[in-house]
This record gives sequence, structure tokens and C-alpha cells, in this order.
Amino acid sequence: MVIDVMWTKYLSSALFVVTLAATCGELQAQSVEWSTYNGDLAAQKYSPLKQITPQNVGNLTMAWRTHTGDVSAGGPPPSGMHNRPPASGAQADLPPTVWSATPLFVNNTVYLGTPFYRIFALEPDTGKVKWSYDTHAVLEALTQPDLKNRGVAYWQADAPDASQACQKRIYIGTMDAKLHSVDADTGKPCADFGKGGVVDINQWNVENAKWPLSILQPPTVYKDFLFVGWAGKDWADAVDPPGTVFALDARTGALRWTFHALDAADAAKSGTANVWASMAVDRDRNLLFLPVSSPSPNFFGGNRLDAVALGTSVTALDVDTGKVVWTRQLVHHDLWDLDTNSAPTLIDIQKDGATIPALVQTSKQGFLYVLNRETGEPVYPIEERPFPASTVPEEKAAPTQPYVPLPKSVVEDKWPGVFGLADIVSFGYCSRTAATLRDEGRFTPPSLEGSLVYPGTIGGIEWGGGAVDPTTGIFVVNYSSAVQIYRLIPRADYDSAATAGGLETGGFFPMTGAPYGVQLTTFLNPLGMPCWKPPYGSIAAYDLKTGKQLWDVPFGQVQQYGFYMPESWGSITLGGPVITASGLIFIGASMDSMVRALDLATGKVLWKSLVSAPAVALPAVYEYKGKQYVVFAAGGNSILTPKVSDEIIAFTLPN
Amino acid sequence: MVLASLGGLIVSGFNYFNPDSGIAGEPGTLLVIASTILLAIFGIALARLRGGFLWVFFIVSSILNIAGTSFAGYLLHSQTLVILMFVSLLGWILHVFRRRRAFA
Repeated sequence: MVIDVMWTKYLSSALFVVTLAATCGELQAQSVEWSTYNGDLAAQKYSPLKQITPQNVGNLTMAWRTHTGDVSAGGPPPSGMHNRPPASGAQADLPPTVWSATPLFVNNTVYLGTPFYRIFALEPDTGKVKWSYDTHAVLEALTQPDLKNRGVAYWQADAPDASQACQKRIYIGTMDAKLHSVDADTGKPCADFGKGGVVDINQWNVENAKWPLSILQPPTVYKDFLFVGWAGKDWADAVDPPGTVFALDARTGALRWTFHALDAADAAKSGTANVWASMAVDRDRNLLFLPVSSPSPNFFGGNRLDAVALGTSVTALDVDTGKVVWTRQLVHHDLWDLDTNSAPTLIDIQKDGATIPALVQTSKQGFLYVLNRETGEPVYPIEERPFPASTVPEEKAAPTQPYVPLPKSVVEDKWPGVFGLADIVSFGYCSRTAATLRDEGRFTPPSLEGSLVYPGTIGGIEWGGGAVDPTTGIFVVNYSSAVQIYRLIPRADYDSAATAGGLETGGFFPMTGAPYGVQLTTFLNPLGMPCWKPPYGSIAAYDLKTGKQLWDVPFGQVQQYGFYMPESWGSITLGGPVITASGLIFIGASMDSMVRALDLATGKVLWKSLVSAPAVALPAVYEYKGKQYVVFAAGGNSILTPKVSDEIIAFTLPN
Repeated sequence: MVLASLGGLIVSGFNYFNPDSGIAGEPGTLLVIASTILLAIFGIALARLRGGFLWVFFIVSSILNIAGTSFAGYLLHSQTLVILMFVSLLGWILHVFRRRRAFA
């Protein structure tokens, strides 16, 4: 009898998957796996699983949790830790860790990468370690200030030969630009990949090579390609390595093509416009979509007054050749570090009786750009609107910027205004400071007196992007409401202050080679309270068929000194949501180290659980042996709170 | 009041060292540890005093402590501490009431 029931269950699951594959387009061909950073190549972050529902999610309990040991709050490495000495050979302190890794569930295994650049393969129902692999990467903050990892990638041969090794592979990158390939079943290096299983991406770092091309985001894998972007060192120099994406052979690591975001002239005087976030792939159209970041230096553009066409853009490439099919710049002459920072979500929209192959590109500036993914043309109109001019000598802000009236931006055009409580407890500090700042709303350029920038470089919407239910076209996105101050400092003043040791703290960044350094701060009072009105973070849903916002509610809770602030204040949010077919949203992404399940229909919190640090990655949703699991990596991020962890935790319904 | 404050001290100490409490190692947790220790001292002092300025001082300090610790416990999401402070409040009321009856 039990066997009959189980067979019926498995059969219906199999039928469900087969039916999905047969009746839906490529974009809807989700599985019960979670095989990529975004769940699938369309970056929909959608699971067709329905076992956990709004009715029973309150019963969700911890299935297992595992600690990898790869965590640092900054300071000396723990004794006995599997750490490596830094490149200098000295036993230096470890930088703090930032762990934004989406776990993968594929090949009947949960895979994840760690900020110490190790791979873990776990049993999906117990969390027990099957194997681990150590890259022995240098644990130094060579580019980013923290040891950072966003996970691993998976590839398998079209027809895996069980007698051969490395028919299924896991890839992990390192801060020092090494890309490792290991057998997904054993964790042994794939000898045919590069040299002994490692490709040195830095061999292609040939122009303005001031720092290594850090591979913190796992490659995007499609066909037999690995698409590899990289992260760099922010705000240090005016001229940086120019942005590139490399397409490698998944088996050998051989370079197939290189995408250059900057032309030779721009590359000589600027840099970056790199792709540090995840990418999306349209299998039907053979297109690779890149979120391209801003060019350097990030807060002054006097050295790059000619239009940098691909800077701060979403750009579509031909998968096989790397040629640009179309590009759409989202911010002209970016002076705010508004990197395009997440993979666009691909979705077919039913609108006015037609099916539109669309993508939704979220952004730090809070706009949702809904574009036809074949052409890059807007599905909902994008207007060129005038914005303020720069007052900084040698600078010329773009006279107009793309503006998206619909869907409504997640943040308003004006900052929320001074928060009375923060102002009172600081004896008027907030209002006094605001009165000294340049504030002309959205896209106010950086200035010498200090500009109030809203939204600033921490968003708006960060790298988690949004999630979509492809059956309804409902799109969900979490976002921050954060006010920052950008102040340019003339080079002579900056350098003399630096020499005197006055710039150790306070958000100073040199932009060496530019006529200005920059001070970038979040607008807080001396007690650390935000000077602007809450909510500080929210989550919103949109109907992509109409562009209308369905709901918008505060999300998460601020936690300061251990004290939880009111729920109506929300929390600065990093990480992203996933949607399940049963009408749930699963998300970590808040300061308070909670993971939550929300009702897709209303945004109401239906379940929450404390984890050991903010879960700033996307969760993964999968089914194994008939049970649905939701798994979070709780790693923390210093932007939110100093709390860090190495915990991976899975939840399921009780038996 | 003394027992409830000692209970609060134990709960807060546990929270401070328990990584799953959500408030481990936090300054706010240290604050309620300190305030519950103070409350216990106030309670012991009140039990020994028979009146006078010091009694008034400790009775006022105790109620302020109970109110502050309760509010801090609420913001720390430490429901047990809030309940224990409620018990402390009952002890405080009983103490005041008993003293008023003694003077009646």
C-alpha cells in the first residue's frame, strides 16, 4: 500500500515535469532542481513545487543545518583552520567574509561555494558532507574588502559516460582569478580543464592590470560554454582593467571568445564596465544577457566625457560569437556607481492579446526596465527626461537620463525627507546636514559641497534582482530605500589629508588619477540612525501584463545593538526572493537574520525563522525523495551588519 | 522581585552566549544583563530597608529599571525577559502595597 502511494506520488511528479516540458515554452521548463545561481538560465527564480503552501508553511521546520567553518569576522584565523597563509607569507589577519552563495541542487546533491573558496557537496536530505574541495586560494582582500563568494556553477555533458570522470562538473572562482573545475561526483579536479583543473583568468588581464580579475560570481553555464565575468577593486583608481566577459570551453577551459565593454579609446582612459553579477540566457534565441556595470572612475566622469555606449547597460550577445546583438544604456554618463547589478529576468508577457518575449532588468536606481529581449526596445515606454547639471569643474553630467514611468519605480524621485526622531535625538544634526547638501532629486550629480543621492550605490535593488511567476506574470522584488552622500574632494586636499592619516575611516576613496577623491557615506546621525524617514526596505509585486504595482510592504526589521526596530521601518535588504508555484515567496535578505515566507498575493509574512546571520543570497528550492526543501546560506554582509556566519540551513515540512 | 530579576539575568546571559538567540554578543543584551543585576541588588536592598530616603530611592529606581528592562526585552524580542519583568512588577507592587498596609 505504501509502495503504491509512493509510486503514485513519484509518477505524478514525473508526469508533472514531463507535462511542463511538453506544454510550456523553453522559459517555463523549470524542474524540481535548482541548477543555477538564479534557479534557471532565465533568472526567473521560480520553482514549480507546490508541497509547501500558504496554508501549511507555518509548520515549516528545520530539516538540517551545516557549518562549513569558512567564516571570518576579521581578525586572526582560528587555530587549526584549513586556511592558507596570505601571498606575502606572513600570518596576517583574515578579512571578514561575505557569503552570498545560492546553493545549487542538482545531480542529487546540494553544492555550494564558500568565501574561503572551497566547494561543499552535501546530502540533500541530511546536509551531511559528501565531499569538499579546497582551491587553496589566497585569503586576502585583493580586490573587494571582504572575502566574498556567490556560489558555484554546474555543467554536465549531453550524454554523460558513467565510466569517465568529469562528465559532470562543478566550477568555483577565486578572488585571485583562478577558475577551478572538479568532478561533481567525487570533488576531484578535472585534469583536462586548464592546467590540472585550473584556468588562470588573469592571463587575459592585459590592460591596466592593477588588480586580479576576481571571480566571485560563478560562471553562467550554457551548452558547453562557461561565461565568466569578474569583479574588481571599487573606487580606487580612475583607470582600471576594462570590462570583459570570457566564454570558455566547459571541458578544457580554452578561450572561445571575449566580449569587450569598452572600445580601445575608452579603455585607455577609463576601465571596468565589467559584469560582476549573474547573467541570463535565452535558449530559443541563443542570446546571453549581460548586466554591465559603470565605467571608472565611478563618481567623476571628466575623463570619459565621450559616451561610453555599453557602460551601465543591459546588453545582449550572441551566445556562440560574443557579438553584441543589442544594448540599452540604463544610465548615461554614470556618476553614481549605478552598476547594472543582476541578471535580467526573462519572461514572456501576455499583453494586448500578444505574447511579447520580454526581460525585466532591475536596477540600483529603482527602475524596472521591461524590454523586448529580441530587440532591446521598451515594452513600456522609457522617456528621456532632463536632470540636473554638474557644478564640478571638468565634469559634464548627461543632460537627460532614461526614465521609466511604468512600472512605477520602487523608490520615489525625491528622498523621503528628514526623519524627525533621528533629528531630535541628534539635536538637529540631520536637518542641519541636509540643508548643506546639494539635493535636486534623482540623478543629482556628485559635488564639492556634497550631494544627497537617492537612491545611491547600495540601491534601490541589489544583486538579488526579482523573481517572477511565469504562469501569472507577477514579478516580485525587494528593495532598499537608502540615502547616501557623495562629496568630491579636490586631489591636492585629498592627498594631503591622506598623507596626514586623516582618511583612515569615514568612507574616503581615492579615485587615483582623477582630479578628485570621493567621500561616500550613508546619511546617518552620530548615533548611527538613518536620517531619512522609514521604511528602509520593502518588497513589492507587479503585474507585468499591465505594469501596475500590486502591493508594496515594508520588509524585514532593522536590528541595532540587538534591538529590533518596528516592522513598519523595514530593513535595508540584500539578497533576493524566489517564488514557488503554490503562491509563496521565500526570502532572507534582511538585517535581522530572519528568513521568511510571504504570501505572493499580499506580501504578508506567513512564516519566519531566525538563522545565524543575514541570508544575503537567494534561497534554493528543490524536491528530493518526495519532499520539498528550502535552503538558505546564512553568511552575512558587512553592508547590513557585522554579523557573519558559515551556516547553511534547510527547511521542510514535518513528516 | 529578586527571583524574577535573577531569572532575567539567567535568561539574558543564556541569550548573550547562545548563537541561535539572535541577540548573542549584542550590546543590548549586555545592557539587560546589567539592568537585571541592578534590579536584584535593588530588591535585596528593599527587603532590608524599613523606610526613609534610601527606600524611596530604591523603590523609584526599581520601577524605572523594571520599565526600562521590559522595554529593552521587548525590543530584543526576549519574551521570557518581558514576562519575568512583569513578575518583578508584581513583586514591586506587593512590596509597596504591604508597606502601605503596615503604615495604615
